[in-house]
Amino acid sequence: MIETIPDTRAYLIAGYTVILGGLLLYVISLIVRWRALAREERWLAEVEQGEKK
Amino acid sequence: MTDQKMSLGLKILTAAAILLVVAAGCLVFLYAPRERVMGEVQRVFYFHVASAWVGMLSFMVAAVAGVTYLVRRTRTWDLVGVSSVEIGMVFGLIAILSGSIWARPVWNTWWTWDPRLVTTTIMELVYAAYVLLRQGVEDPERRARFGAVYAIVGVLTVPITFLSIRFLRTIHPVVIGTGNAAAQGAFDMTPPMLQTFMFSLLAFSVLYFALLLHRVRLARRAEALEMRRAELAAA
Repeated sequence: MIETIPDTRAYLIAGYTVILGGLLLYVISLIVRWRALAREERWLAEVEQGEKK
Repeated sequence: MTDQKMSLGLKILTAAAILLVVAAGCLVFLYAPRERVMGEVQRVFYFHVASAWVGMLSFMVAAVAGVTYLVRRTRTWDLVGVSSVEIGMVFGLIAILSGSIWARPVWNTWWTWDPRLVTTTIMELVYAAYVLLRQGVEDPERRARFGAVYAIVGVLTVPITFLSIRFLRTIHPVVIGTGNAAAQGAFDMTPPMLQTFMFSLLAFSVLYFALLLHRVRLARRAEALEMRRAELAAA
């Protein structure tokens, strides 16, 4: 009897796209938030300097 | 002032996490053999289980952080708790979605009301409520106290989820421990499969701690900025 292994490669690709894509999206969200904070810090520093003058 | 420059320890941990995940990927695709019944889709199992493990680990760390916060009242532990919950939710969602993709060819359905799937979703929703409810509390002290207690109570969903496939009638395979007869998609792990599985768990655990430290750093910076903003408004 010949055993045939089902072709489930499409599901494998979909699975790893979700896993690695999800991780990547999260890392990007951390970077975006970090940069937004840095931008806001710069803005606050400018406001603080303006007040001192 | 926040620690804006990444410490050497965090750089090393981040590099180690990336290398370990890449190495785990190589083991999954190049070393672990193809399973005979499910075919290639079985390879999803390695990162799916590792994601689910990190999800549960995150919620346990959040509970420990909650206890520590209530004892010591140190702000950092509140930040560890909220950061860990956020990471746990990301990995939990990844586990649910990748499990659903695995289930389609194996169970012939994207979703079924199986105890494991239901308890995992409930766990995820419990922590989604944690995030939403925290946002509704203005006072940082109250928010932290509330978050700590919630994380301690919420962690009960972790053992319930973990044990659901061991004590309830389910079709979800049991990976660690004895399997159940009704499981569909269960398989006997060969030594290379087991090594790949254990390595994936290690890689994802290291990745979790790296992400946690980055997220706590972000939370510290946000908090410091919040204080500066408040000072400026009061001046």
